Amino acid sequence: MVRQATLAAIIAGCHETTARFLRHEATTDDSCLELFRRALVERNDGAWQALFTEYQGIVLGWVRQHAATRSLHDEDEFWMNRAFERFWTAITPERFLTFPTLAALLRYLKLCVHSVLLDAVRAQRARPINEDEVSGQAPDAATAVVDQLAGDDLWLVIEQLLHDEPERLVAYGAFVLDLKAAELQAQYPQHFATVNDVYRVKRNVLDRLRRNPELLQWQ
Amino acid sequence: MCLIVCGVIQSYCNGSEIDPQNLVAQPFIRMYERELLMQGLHPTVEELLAYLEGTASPANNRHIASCNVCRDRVTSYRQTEATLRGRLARFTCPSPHELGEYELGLLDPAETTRVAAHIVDCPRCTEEMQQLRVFLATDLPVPAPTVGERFRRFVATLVPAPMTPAVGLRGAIDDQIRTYQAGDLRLTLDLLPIPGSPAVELVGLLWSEGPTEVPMDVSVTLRHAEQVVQQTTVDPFGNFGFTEIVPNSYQLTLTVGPDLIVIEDLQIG
Repeated sequence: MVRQATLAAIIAGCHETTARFLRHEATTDDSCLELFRRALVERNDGAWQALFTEYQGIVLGWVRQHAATRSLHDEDEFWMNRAFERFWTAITPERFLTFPTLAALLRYLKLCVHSVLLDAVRAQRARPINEDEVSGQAPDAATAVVDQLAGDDLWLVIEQLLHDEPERLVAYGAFVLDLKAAELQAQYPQHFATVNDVYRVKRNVLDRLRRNPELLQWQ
Repeated sequence: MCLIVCGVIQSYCNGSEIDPQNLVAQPFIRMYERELLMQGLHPTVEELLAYLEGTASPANNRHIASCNVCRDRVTSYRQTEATLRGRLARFTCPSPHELGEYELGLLDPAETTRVAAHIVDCPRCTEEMQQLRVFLATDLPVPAPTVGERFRRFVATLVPAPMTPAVGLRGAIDDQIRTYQAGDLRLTLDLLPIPGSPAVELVGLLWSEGPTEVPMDVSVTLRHAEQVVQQTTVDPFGNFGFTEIVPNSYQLTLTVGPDLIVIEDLQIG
């Protein structure tokens, strides 16, 4: 029956349902599920616009609630829009049936908020701390080569240059996981008695990479 | 010649820029740097790496801030590290979204096994999973929006009763009928006496005079002194009613889709 209802009726019903849902009152999800279905399965613009209008306040609240937001510089509304985009992309018509309730859909929308923010945090961590200082210098030989390689290929090259397990742990921990020396020492005390041991291994690894002929020949 | 070179090295040590084209001074500066390094007067590479992580000693911090040689060394190592991290950062890790779908049980069995095995060995993904769980566990209602934020509020105005209402009210007494207008919507209220009681029955009829029909699930709330007295919903024909309403001053609100229609100071009795 709800499939035959006008969009206006669906929107009104979903609005009321959502209000009840947020107050933890018993609801039937029919109107909201139909609104999501029209937006995500039928790709109905009006339904998507209504869905966005209905939930933008909630999504914005989630963005502001998330711990990662404070470390990012873009406006909260920017992340809200990214989260809706991801939600739209991730729930394909084929996938829609995986979400049988309003709670499941809103939980997934909340996950989208988290994942767009965490993507940005990861990217931020991977960037140089002071890009001006770094970009002000001509890249060394290893840097120039590294720029041409994807992560998997580069790691294969690096792994061949590592001598033992402590070197592999330091290289993987420092360059892949961005772990600090103290974190590596705490995680692998059997390999590193002190933090200085980590720095010593890291120095050996870095110096070897910076002068390695195999990397140089890729230039 | 010696005086010139000494002058260049002296200004270099004081933090001045040296002209890179000064081919006479460059070899001597390199020799001077090597000598300092050999004498242990500069921080070691390990100490520079600690500086890059923000854990250098105060003495090394001061030295690096004022030493051209060490600033160049730091920048060089920083560049190498940054480039490696830029290419390698988390390249083996599932994306945050994939971790989230794992948490929500949305991955297929093979992906679930792969992600679970990765999380066990990856402190960064473990951290992110904890962060995700805390975030998801936070109650849904972000601070609940106030009525004013959630609804467009219309104050219904009393208008003359229509000559031919769309539908007649059951048992209505003509002089008790009041008709209100809010946009295209019309609301007719009537008070029906209850024999032997000062209380009355309040019945209402909601209809639209515009092209759009009255939405389903319209809720109606009667309040006195900001307390909810009774609540009901409008039936598919636009009717609603409240019983046993004692004489007093009330506020009546109808939630119609995103709109809130309010009748202030509804006098009964």
